Amino acid sequence: MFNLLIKDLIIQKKTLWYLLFYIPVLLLVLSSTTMAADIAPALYATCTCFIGYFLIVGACSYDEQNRSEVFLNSLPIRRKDIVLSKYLSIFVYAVIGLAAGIFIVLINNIFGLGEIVRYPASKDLLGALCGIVIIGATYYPLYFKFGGIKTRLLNVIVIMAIFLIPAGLVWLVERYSQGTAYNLLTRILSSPDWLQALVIGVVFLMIFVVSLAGSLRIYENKDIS
Amino acid sequence: MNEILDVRNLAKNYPGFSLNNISFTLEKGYIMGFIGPNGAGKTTTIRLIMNLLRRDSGEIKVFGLDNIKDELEVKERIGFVYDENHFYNELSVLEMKKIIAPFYSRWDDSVFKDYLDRFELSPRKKIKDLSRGMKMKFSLVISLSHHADLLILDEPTSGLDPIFRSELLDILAEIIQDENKSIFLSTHLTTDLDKMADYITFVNRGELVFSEAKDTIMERYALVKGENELLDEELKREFVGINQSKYGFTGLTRDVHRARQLFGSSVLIEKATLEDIMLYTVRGNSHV
Repeated sequence: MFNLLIKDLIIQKKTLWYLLFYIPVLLLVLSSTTMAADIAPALYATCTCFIGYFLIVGACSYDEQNRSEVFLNSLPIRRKDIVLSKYLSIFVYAVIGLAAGIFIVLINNIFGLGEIVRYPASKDLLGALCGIVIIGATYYPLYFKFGGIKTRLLNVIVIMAIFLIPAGLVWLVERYSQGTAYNLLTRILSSPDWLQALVIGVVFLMIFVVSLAGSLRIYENKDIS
Repeated sequence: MNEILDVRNLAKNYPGFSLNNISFTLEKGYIMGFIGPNGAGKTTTIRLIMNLLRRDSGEIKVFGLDNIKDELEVKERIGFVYDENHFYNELSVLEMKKIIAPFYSRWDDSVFKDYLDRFELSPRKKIKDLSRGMKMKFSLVISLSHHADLLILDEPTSGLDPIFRSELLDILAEIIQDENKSIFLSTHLTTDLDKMADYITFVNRGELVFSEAKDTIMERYALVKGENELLDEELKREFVGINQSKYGFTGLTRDVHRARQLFGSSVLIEKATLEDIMLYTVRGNSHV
């Protein structure tokens, strides 16, 4: 499985070089804004999700363009290892994305390009990780089922749905629950940070596990041609 | 255990195509040619053996092991070459090797290097810059560098010029000198097999036509040439396929002795090639 992870990085070495151009762009944004200190959480999440999304989609695109699943599945590899390696790569890409974010802040702070931006706190890390987990967990089952081209469109719809459906539900519940839902939300938000983090962590872990189980099932039964 | 590959009652259904009841056996140390026209089911069968496609029914044993239950063990000992390049075009020969090698416990870098030298393949050259023939050779190098006991080749010679084809076939003939190795080679270019194959398995429209020793097939099948007046409807049914023109007929018989008995010296009987056998079987009866 480790070899498959390395493979996904080797085939994307060109993409990794391209992503280096992203760093000066973000530096420019940081140095030109007056709210640099406040954008730290967004910066770390954006870097992780943006770079992570590119690498997730990029690795799958290379496989698809070259129809490499045929040769990969002819090697002594289990199908489940191919799926597991893709899900593990989410965390590898998260580290790369986060490292890029920290590097940008480091350059900004050392050279005084903009206002001082704080280094990532645990909630920034959790936010970034949740973001990329959502991206990977929605992308991979669709990719294994429909292939990369259809998935790119579907994935946008699914990600939008993930953000819009809870908001819609809150609105609906709020409208018909006569303040109960609002009170519940207030109570959750006023709970200790560790409890919020735990709840968020459990929810995202469940999303990750359900997605992984779905992908395994799809890929194990797939005809590769 | 001499059976390297044992396929029993293999079936796979797609919308518009079915592979039905395919059975054959390949023994250690032999080359089996897997022939049939395009769309006959050759690639489907190979992909079922490689467990790329899920079979609907039947059984596939490789080295006496089930190709699904013992997938890793089986694939460790198979070298594969497909009709198209599936490697990453953007990578160099060496980078591609670095990706593949760790998956095989018996990978041998010295064998890999020897074949690269022999085929004049530059390790630094990108796969997208290799010609079709060189891509095929690279694929063959990969398949030979982990001491595979069974080589599975799907249309390796299609699209190659005659020199490349001949070179590839020479290499295969050389490999088979090692009696522990076996080769399963699919092709629609039957001339590739005339000299080198020991067994022939012929599929057409998803059905098995025959799977036998090549010498037996060549002894049994023959082309019968004669005047149209010799034929009536009953006699026509004796042939696998007939090609008729106003000058006479040429028919393929699967029983040369019976043809001699039926026609005596009134017809000319010639040896059939594998191409004749495939052509007449696929076409059936035709009139020019």
